[in-house]
Amino acid sequence: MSESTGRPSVAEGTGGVGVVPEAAGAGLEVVDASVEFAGRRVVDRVSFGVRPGRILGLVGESGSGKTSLARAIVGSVPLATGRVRLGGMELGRRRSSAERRAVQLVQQDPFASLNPLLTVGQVLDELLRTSSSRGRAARRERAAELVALVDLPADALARYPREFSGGQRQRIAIARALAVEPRVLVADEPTSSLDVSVQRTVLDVLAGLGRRMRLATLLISHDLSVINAVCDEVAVLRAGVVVEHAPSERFFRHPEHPYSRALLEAVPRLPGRR
Amino acid sequence: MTEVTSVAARRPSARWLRRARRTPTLVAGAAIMLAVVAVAVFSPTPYDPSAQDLGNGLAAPSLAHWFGTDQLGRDILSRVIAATGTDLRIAVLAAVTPFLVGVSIGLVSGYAGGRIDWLVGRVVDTFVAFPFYVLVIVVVFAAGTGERGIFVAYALVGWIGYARVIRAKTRSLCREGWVEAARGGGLSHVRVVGHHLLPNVLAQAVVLAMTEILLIMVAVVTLGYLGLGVQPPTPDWGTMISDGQLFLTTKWWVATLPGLAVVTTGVGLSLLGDGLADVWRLR
Amino acid sequence: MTGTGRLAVDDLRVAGETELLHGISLAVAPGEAVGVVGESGSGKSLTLRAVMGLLPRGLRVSGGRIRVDGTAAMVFQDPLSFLDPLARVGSQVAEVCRTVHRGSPRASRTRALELLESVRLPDAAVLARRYPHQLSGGQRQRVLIALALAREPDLLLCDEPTTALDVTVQREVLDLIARLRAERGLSVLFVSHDLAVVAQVCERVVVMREGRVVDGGATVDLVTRPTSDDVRALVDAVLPLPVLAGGSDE
Repeated sequence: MSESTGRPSVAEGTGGVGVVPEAAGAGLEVVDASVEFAGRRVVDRVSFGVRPGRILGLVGESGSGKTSLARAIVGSVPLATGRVRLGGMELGRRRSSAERRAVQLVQQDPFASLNPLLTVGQVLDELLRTSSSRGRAARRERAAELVALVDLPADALARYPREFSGGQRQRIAIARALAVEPRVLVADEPTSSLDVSVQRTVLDVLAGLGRRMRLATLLISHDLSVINAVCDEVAVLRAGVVVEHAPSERFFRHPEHPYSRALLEAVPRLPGRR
Repeated sequence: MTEVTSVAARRPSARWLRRARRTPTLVAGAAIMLAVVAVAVFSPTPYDPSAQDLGNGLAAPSLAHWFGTDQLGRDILSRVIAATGTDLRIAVLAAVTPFLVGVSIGLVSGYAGGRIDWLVGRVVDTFVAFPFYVLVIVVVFAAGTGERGIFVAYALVGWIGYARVIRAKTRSLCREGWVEAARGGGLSHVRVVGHHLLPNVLAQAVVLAMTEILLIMVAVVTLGYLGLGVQPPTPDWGTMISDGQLFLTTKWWVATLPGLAVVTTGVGLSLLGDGLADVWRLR
Repeated sequence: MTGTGRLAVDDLRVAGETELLHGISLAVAPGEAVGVVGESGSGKSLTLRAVMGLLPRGLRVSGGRIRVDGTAAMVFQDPLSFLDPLARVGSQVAEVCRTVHRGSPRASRTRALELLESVRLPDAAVLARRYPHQLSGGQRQRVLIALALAREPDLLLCDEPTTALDVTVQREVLDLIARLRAERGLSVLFVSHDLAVVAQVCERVVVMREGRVVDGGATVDLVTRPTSDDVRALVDAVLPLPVLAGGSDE
């Protein structure tokens, strides 16, 4: 436990504070991005970057445009203005199979995010087959590695989604995202459908693997304690606009924008705990 | 670190069978349809269904002729049994093309959305606006009576039901995250539709197929009754009912017993469809 | 103001094909707020439903006693499914007022508006004329609380009332419940999976797991000196936040 910031000791891997900065243009860059929905602008000229191995927390309440922004980054809705770049290369609206694989989304609802008729092994195998030239045996081996990475037992491969709890399903969704060797992970409220008791496990897995595999990770949440648990930086989205963007250490002690402060004060805290 | 790992994984097929055995509608429907299909396949006719015995016409049911004889002295039981093969075969074969076409159109329309979906919607609306039998009769007149007419007619209009149901189902599935995840994982549209969506809509389509086969069977019988369906001397329930109605008040068995065969098969198919829907939890 | 609402649950058992609650005992004294905390599947919501007589089909109370003194009203997690989609929210509240007070339609409407104002529904007069789907999640939850208050309850039963809400809205709803307790002397039974949320409202907590009460006590004691693994797990599950510098936070 690092007492000074109150951050849990989870997932402080290689990409922590003090790492040599990457060359400009590495990782994910969102430049001047706007998203329109039914003629209304829900995200307005948002810019930020996430370097490989780092985690940016994007906090926003419902209606802030955070989900629209996530969907625009993974390419499932178009941008009204601006660009999404990966490693300096622009990702357009119509993305190739490889471009789609490079930016993976972990969704909010783990009960709708897995095909009920396929076993975990079948899902992973299908993705491995399209994303790599591995043979059958090598694919099976990799699938076993992936479920081990997300702390699931090896027999999970032979099982169907309904046999898993919400937290386990969310970890399966993470394994599925990692199967295609992405460079960017976008997690949209990955823990808000889960019990608090399993929230930390999912965050640990997500952040730990993101750092270890040097992915640029965007963690979207309405809950600042979730963001505080794993993120290096925080951006606050309100009504489609980023109102504050700061490193975590500064943000959680000295938020500048009144809205940031209101969000921080609203989080329920345990009495008598520091 | 792992919070649970439930009981031993049970293969879905084993689970399915267990649930199926506890569903009375399915068991009853399957039993009836198994019997009907066995009759159709083995055709255990006691007499030659077209052998005439003009001296023994319109005989009442007896030990020799359980269902009696018709106006030409033919054994009605033998004709009902022979007709089972004819009518069931036509109904099943006529259901194949609409099933394939309807499910494909429904999947593509629901998945693609946009202009394709709009177009399919308009075509479906147009077909739905026509009275069904008028459409079938027009096609049968154009394509010729008998089996061929029925096949063409159903290929043209039968897909509508599948397309509507499967389109709606596909659309709602597309809102679930796993479809987006499959696409995001780099899979092609064909793969997403064929390997992910299709298996998830298939149960619904099969249940619908039971109803459709029933409807086609009734239509075949109706066309036979109107003289537009299966042509004599091939035995067919519709023609038999039509022939028998002249004597309905005095020689009830001539029309009623073939009618009973239609009802039995209809009930069997309908129970089977309902039972499958229950087991697959589609309702 | 001191309340009169009192709840005593003694050795409550609920069963379907198998027993799901294995003898739950808990009590809420007049004016007291008690939290029930546990993971999903611990039986906390089932306990609440048994108290309200709203058990799902196929389940029944198979043993024990439930005693409610005073009127009880419930606030649910998902307000949308408990509001009539085809009626304006104001008239839904007024309708309950009328069955409780048997007053004139006009008096009921006035009373409904007072209630909607007391739960701090912004622009109550305007929003009362809206339908449930035209309101935000937080506004709907306020309407649901107003609806519960319309029954003039002595005991408020809350089933994860803030789980679906944004944190700022959650804060407002929690503050509202605390204020109603102070003003009306309401007794509260508050169910949640999140100890931090429960701690905002309740001075005493009951911890459940697998259909049993496994721990309980004063909230502050439990949080600062957890005595069992169950409580420790619940405390650990609450992700910490650094203390705000120069904050106005408590």
